[in-house]
Amino acid sequence: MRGLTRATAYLPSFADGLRRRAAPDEDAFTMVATAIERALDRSVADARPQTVHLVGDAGALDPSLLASLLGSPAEIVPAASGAFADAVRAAASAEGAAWVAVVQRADERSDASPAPGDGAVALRFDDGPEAIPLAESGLLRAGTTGASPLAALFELGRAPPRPGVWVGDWASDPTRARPVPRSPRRGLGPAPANVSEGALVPGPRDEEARAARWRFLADRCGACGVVTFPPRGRCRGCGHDDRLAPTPLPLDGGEVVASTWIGPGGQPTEFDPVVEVSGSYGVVLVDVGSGVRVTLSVADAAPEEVRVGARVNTRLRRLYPMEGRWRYGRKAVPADGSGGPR
Amino acid sequence: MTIGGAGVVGYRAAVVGAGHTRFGVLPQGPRQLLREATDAALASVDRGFDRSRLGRGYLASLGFGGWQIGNSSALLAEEIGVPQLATVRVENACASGGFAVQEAIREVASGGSDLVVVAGVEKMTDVSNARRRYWLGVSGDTEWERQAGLTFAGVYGLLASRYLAHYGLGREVLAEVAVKAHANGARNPNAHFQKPVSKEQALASPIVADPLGLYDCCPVSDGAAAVVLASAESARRWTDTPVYVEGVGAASDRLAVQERPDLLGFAASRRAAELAFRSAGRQPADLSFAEVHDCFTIAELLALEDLGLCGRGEAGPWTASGATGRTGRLPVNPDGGLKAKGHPIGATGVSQVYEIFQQLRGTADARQVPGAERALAHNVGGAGATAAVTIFARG
Repeated sequence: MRGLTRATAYLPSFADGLRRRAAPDEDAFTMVATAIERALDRSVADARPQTVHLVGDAGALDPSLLASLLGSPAEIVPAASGAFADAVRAAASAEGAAWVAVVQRADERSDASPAPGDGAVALRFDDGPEAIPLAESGLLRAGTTGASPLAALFELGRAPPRPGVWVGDWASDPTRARPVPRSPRRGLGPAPANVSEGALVPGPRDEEARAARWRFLADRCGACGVVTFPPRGRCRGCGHDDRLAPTPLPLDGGEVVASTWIGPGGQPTEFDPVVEVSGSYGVVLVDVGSGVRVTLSVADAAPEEVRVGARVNTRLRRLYPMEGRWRYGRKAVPADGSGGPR
Repeated sequence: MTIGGAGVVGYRAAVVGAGHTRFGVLPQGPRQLLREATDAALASVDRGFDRSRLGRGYLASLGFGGWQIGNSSALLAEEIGVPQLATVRVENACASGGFAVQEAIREVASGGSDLVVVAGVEKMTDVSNARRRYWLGVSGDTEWERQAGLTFAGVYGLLASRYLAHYGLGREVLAEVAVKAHANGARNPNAHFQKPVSKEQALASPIVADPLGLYDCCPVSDGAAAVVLASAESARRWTDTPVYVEGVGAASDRLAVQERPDLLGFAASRRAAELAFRSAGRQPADLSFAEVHDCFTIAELLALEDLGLCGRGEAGPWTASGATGRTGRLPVNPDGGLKAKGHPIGATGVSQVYEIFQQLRGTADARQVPGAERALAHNVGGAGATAAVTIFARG
């Protein structure tokens, strides 16, 4: 039976009254990415979407970023913000895995947005025994309420017709959110066109590394079993270069093995906007298993939440601007943060 | 191999002259710093010589700030006043000087030249704050560490957090290193910082990269140092008191700290020390003092353990006991080290050899280690990606 097989929500950790607010390093792409990651079964290649309809502020995001995140040649279809119902119908009647991604980032809209503020939802349509037929899903009604698609989806998600399909931040309590950073709207807007003093990672090198940087895709050696990360086309254990199999490492649940907090003046130049917004920031070395450690910036956390021994999850965020575009990568967030477990 | 004087296994090379500028925030540009250091080094050779007898020149410099980033070794030839002298620049970040000295040792030990000069220079304080912070992070791993927001203060902050957590220690053990370094720097007229600090002052300094505070970090300094090396056979032609090279070791490690299995030390330092002690036929107990790479206080604790000067996990208590003080059991960095003397990147490894030259000849004035006969220089590139260890002895 074809229908809705997964509905995932992502809400930022910060709130301004009852409205969630994106952190300074979040944008439409990172919020969509977080919602989509929650619906992806990383161990099953076939579960990757063949089509993604983008609704709301997602219409402005660069489809090639989403393709890199998914690691598959999915067809990305930007839809106008009023076309939520059309997108849902198209996804429900397509063949194979078809997705609808809805995102709202208030400061990227010209009009004031209604509750819940900033956030994203991913809807997966597929064949399966648990699939909710479109007519029973409530989604078509949500598309006609006049509220923003995201607000309507959250209303629906608080009392979903079949809870097992609806996962993520649907019932998140706004009173548990963190207060917004002191200057949430400054510093990390559109990528500055010319940052001459950043660590140079040219565009092609950035694109080449996205599978590792965004999805923690490592190489497991068929000869000796050693996992090499970041992958460099050769096993670091035995030197074989012909038996490497791409292997995703866990994005969540890693252990902090070293932790620092960078004060003003300790940051490289390209992190000046981060310091301008938050005053300081953390960096942790995280053991993600298989003998692999990754160096990550910290997001949405206070220093005491990411000390040595703490557990962290990771989320895709903006890192810093380079060559007029944002460089994206994963950051560590506390595993028990208000975003909830996955 | 047997060298003259000491009659021990080692390299057939000796230091016969050394010069040093003041380290600190200086008005001089890099050319002038180079000239001052090399002039002083050449003038220090007891029996003066004709500069045209130099066979090679080695320039150690990162090229901080981007000034004359290419072909800068030609400036060394110019400033020495021998424009046709064959020169080469050696760049291994903060270990540039240590590696340049080792290249020079190989040149004279192999018979390629009888006499060579090594100069290290860095001009760091004449660029904007933003450009300086950019350059302080160019020698770490760019694709992961730098993209996570780390410069070297941050990388060493990570290592310090691990070390303190692993051994159950607090920031006080780091402060002890700073107190010792500043006490020594106060006796060094070339040092960037010449004032002692108290443990309380060190602990109260603002956080740069937790757990590292300002007093855990070496300063950003201008400066230059130069040494003249001769083959062991010809050394006594230039002075009655050459300082001989006994052992040489060097090693590298994976650039990114995240790819190294052990966070409680630098494998490159351990390997370099093992090779140096082995080639010298010596062991740590034979040293009179050590010049170690203390760009951050945690770096000195790691160095003491990596070099085998104390056991793993013992560097904190050992430092607190006063063992590494100027009059302790094994003085470490009697010149104040990078921490108090300053760290003009390319100059540092050469400056360590300058100090050893003065100490082993008994000319280190107020900072003299009594009876110094043998010493080690340990120079680290970045956060342990490269390391050079060289052992010297009095003739």
